[in-house]
Amino acid sequence: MVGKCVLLIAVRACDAKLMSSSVYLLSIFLGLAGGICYTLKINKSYKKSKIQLLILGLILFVACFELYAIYLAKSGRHNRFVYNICFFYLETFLLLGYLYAINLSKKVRRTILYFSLIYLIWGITNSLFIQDIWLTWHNYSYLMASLSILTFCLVFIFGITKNNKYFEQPLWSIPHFWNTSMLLIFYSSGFLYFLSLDFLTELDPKLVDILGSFNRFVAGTMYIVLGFSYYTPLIFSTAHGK
Amino acid sequence: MESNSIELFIVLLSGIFLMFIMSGFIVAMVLIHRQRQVKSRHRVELMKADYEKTILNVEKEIREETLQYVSQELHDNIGQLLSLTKLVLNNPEPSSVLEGKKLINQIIKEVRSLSKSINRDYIKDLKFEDFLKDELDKVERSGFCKTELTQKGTVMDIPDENKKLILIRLVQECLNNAIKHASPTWIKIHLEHDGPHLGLTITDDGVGFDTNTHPKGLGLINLQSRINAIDGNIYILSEPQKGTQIKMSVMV
Repeated sequence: MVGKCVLLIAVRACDAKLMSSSVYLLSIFLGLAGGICYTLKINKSYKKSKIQLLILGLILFVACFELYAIYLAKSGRHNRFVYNICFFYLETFLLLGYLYAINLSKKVRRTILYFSLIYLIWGITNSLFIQDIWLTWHNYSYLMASLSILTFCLVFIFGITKNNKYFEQPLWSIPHFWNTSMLLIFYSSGFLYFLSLDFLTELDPKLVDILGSFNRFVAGTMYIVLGFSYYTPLIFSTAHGK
Repeated sequence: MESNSIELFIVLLSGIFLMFIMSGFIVAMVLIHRQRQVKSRHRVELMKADYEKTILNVEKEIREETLQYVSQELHDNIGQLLSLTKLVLNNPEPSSVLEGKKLINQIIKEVRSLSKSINRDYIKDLKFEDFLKDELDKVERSGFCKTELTQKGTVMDIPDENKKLILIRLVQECLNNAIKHASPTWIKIHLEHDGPHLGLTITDDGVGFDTNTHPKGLGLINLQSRINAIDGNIYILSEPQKGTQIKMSVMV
């Protein structure tokens, strides 16, 4: 009964196009615009940051592959390989690179490097012997990727408190805090969805759309936050961090 | 359809549940971080207040010490010289006028030197190394014991005035303790500069004391709290009848 109620609300939300593909794309481009404006105008005068450029590159990359995937879908062709290669692998490597750059602990950095290597080897093995990269969702790889990103984000946020980092500023004025928080929220809610993608294909397409819509809503929010996070020091920082 | 909706409901619910757990974690971390910030600020304010109190005490003690020194000098040195000058000038011989002039010149020099020691800015402008020389000269001039100043490394002045004041007071306290309680035949000060690190060792061959039986004497607590105020370290090595060595190190 409860399940039916939730479904009803979700179907309504979906029907109302709460987060259709076009709104999702719009969120990505909004994040991208925020990042570009920061890089061109504010980054020059405020503080040059290579990590911010990495985040900008990541959003740009996501915008490109999402557009390509939509183009393929509209042409009636399979776009799984695009998500497999770009989302499950390349985006994961970019995010691992970002987490490597922001985690200052040598031990964590080494772990990220080792994990990236293992993930690369696993990705090749999975593609060659277990799941066809052109036709099957690489959800085993995604399970690995999302769990690792969740772990490294948790380690980063926990490390801030444990090691008294950013002691002069409030946490909400730290871009990396916003970024890792959104990654935590997206990957914690999203990895169940992506993990069960094969199983979900057996469901009613409308129900899959509901889940997809919810997932796109969180993802879209994440890309907006990633694009605008670097404005937070300008908005929230004060001399005494109050 | 019913089983599908339940499965979908479970997936949705699990996702939302995980999302809430992560959000809770983030909120908890923000609160903990904020609480630590507040505690740390409070601690820093307490330390600042403590530091300012130490500086005030040090300035007061230096002033008292200086006044005591000036009073002693006026009585024992300038007073004596003036009395001597009066006696010399009372002599009707012409050579005594010349002698009187010499004595008056000496008195002028002594008064100038005294006026310098009263001026607080003088201590601020004085190089730490010169201060040590002056203090040891004073001890030696009083005929109390022999003194020696040695140094290693490029001599640099201490840029932080408050640090210098506290160090000056620490040295004065150590010398006073040696004079009052140790009855030494010599006192040596060794000054060592190694980059920003300043090392100071004050050694005497006095009666010494058992550091285990006097670990919490008021004088030692004072020395410790003052060196703590400038983020320095102090080590006291002493044994009965074997003298005392006080080592201080501080970043300047």
